[in-house]
Amino acid sequence: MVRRVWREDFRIIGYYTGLITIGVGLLMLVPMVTSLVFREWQSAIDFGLSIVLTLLVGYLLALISRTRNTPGLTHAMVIAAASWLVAMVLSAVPYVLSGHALSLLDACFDTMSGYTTTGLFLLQDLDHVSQGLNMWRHLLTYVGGQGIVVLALTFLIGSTGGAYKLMVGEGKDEKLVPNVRHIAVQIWRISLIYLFIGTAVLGILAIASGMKPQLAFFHGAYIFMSAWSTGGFAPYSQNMLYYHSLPMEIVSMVFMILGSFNFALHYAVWTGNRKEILRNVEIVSFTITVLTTFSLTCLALMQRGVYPNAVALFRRGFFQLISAHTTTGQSNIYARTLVREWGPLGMLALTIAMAIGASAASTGGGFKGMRMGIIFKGIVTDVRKLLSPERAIVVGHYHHIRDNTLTDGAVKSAAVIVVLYVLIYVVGAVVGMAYGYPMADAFFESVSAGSNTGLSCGITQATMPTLLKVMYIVEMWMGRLEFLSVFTLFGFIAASFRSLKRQKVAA
Amino acid sequence: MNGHRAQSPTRHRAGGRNEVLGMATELVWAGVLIVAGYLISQLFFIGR
Repeated sequence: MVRRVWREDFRIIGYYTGLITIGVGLLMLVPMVTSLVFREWQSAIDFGLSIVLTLLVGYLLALISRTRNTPGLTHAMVIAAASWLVAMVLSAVPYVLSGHALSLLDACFDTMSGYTTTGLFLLQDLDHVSQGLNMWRHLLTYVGGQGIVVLALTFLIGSTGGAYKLMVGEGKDEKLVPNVRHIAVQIWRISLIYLFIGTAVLGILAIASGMKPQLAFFHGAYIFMSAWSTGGFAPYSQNMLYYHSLPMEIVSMVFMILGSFNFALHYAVWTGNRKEILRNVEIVSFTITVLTTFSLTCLALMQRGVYPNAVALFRRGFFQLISAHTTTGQSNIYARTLVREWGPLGMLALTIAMAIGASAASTGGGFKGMRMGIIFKGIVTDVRKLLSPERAIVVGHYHHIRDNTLTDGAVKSAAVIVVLYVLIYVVGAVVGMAYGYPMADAFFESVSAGSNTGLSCGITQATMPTLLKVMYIVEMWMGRLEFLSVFTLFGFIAASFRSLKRQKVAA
Repeated sequence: MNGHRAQSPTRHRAGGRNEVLGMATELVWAGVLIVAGYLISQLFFIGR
């Protein structure tokens, strides 16, 4: 039975959504300062207006709904799902004001793509976008990767009673340390240390490729944020192909791989438990599936004779595969090359890699290595049970930070989420096919959106049908939040209407 | 009891040396995976 919805429920949801919205507004100061540094006055004004609007909405929401009660699990789930929608719309304002987005829907598509670390984009004339807007695009992926709620917890909310539930609602359900605010701080600490290292290394490599120093370090920061957050954006429409730099591609691959790690694994390795990297179920699963899908990619590319030597095969093939498997979406080939040269088998290998995706509680999307590992171990345990004497008790285990007993509940919940992912992949592909796109292309693009990857075979354009844009936005949103908070939001809305109806009948 | 030794996640401590070694471990692991990818690429060109 679903419980009734009271006014206080709306207050709690409104108050915390308001605080998170204020966080989004404050975040816009970074691109505004970037615009000022590059003397882009119009862009700075756009961000100034957007900051005022966002802070006003956030402040009013928090003021109207002011409460001292802390969120329960239902509230936390609704807050997580709703705040991503509010953030999507308000973050789209600078896009619209810049004139590079053809409509509010296109701008929302790009901001949802940014926050969910997908990387698909509809922005027009990307090569001439201001540095401020470029910073905003990449900052969205960086913050989205760590989580909007995690950001708000770190700086605005703190360790309230429902703080951990808020993180669970956003899909960050790893308790690294007992204090919730410290978890958020640890996530940000790891990300910021790598941000400095990554920006410096990529900036130096960009200078070595002939870029001016100031611009080189900004590009270094953009490419790092895109790789680490498994986002996939780049400052130019040619993405990584623009730089023509093998060292930059390799460094980017390293950060894509590290960005796809579970934050609990980072924390364990950084606090001295270094052997964890060899034993963790997600890393074992990731290694096996990367090497398997890359072998399939090589087979496809060799069949068609796409690349003349091993270096070319590695440079294009492995980069694309790692980009797909970590759900990043950076690319060093043209979108249509996938269809024209890689062919159906090559696209299938990438589609499988995207569908599986990165680690749980990471910046990445997809089924996640944890679920793949748990389901595989569940199958192995079931087979062992069948082969054992009837009275024997067979218990499966998996290693994630500690040795865990494999329960039927863990296998069931992993399987349910995987089925839901498959369902949105299929629904998105069917909508694409209904608009006349070939099956392989429709599946590739749908899986790319649903797994928050961002590789495109050419379907995602400003001219694509409106319904398909909305479908991909929903896929990105659901895929990032792993369904449960979105379903809770839908359930909460339905329960609110039911409560309203009851009140009217009673009156 | 499952017979496995439970390992507390808080048994280890954060600190400069541990963090640097941890970061190095992660970077080496990513490097190994990339080298494995390169070797697989080479494997497909053996005998061509």
